[in-house]
Amino acid sequence: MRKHRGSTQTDEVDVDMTPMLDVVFILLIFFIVTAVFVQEQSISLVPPPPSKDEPDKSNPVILIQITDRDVIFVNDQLTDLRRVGPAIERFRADKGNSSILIVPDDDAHNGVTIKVFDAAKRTGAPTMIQRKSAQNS
Amino acid sequence: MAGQRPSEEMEEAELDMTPMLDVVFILLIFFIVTAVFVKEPGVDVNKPLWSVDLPTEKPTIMAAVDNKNQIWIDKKIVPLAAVPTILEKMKAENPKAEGVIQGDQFAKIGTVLDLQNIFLAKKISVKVSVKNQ
Repeated sequence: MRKHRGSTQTDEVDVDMTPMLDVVFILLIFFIVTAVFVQEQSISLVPPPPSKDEPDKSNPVILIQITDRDVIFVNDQLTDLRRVGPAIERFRADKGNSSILIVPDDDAHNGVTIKVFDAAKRTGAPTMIQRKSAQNS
Repeated sequence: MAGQRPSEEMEEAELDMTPMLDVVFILLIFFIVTAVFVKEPGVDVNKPLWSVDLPTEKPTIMAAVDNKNQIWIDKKIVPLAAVPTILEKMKAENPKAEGVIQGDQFAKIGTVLDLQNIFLAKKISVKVSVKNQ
């Protein structure tokens, strides 16, 4: 008799968790399924805000133009994509610490422009991208 | 005796679910907290190559430009003129959003920069996605 009473007491304390577990499982599965861990390697093409203490005009700018046919001109010299880095180095050796301005035509391709940007960044020079249309207006 | 046996059997059948429930709850909370509902552009682009390894980021607003120069946002092709309103809506849902533009290697840089200007006009920080070689 005493044993029996003890067993009913534990039965009362034991709340049935199964429906709650079901709900929690469904929520869990929903969040697992909808979780997207997007990871992107990305670079900023946005020019930094102009600093006041360092006027840009002190250094000559290396101008890299990319035409609508992905032809690259570094300071008006026709340059192969693979030779952009060395060309920049040469101009920088001549003219000191100049910054780089990349002016792609609007019809130039993204891949080429990014590659030129990459090559320019690798030389360590401050690099900016400016649109051709923005420059004209 | 006859009354006792069924109760013993029931106790054996009933597993203690509490530790499991704890684990499931912790997992649930983890997934709720980390859930960012990123609307992927829905197009596979051939990203431009980059020479050095860059830190990965977790963007929340994504737009893509494919090799036919079409803009994709949230699995739909959208005209450039419709992008500002879409971005406005996405930013309202997620004010601290960071944008990423996935441009194909053969997308026109003009379109990518147009998109970038729209992102910046809506005060969303934006970067252009690249792939490490």
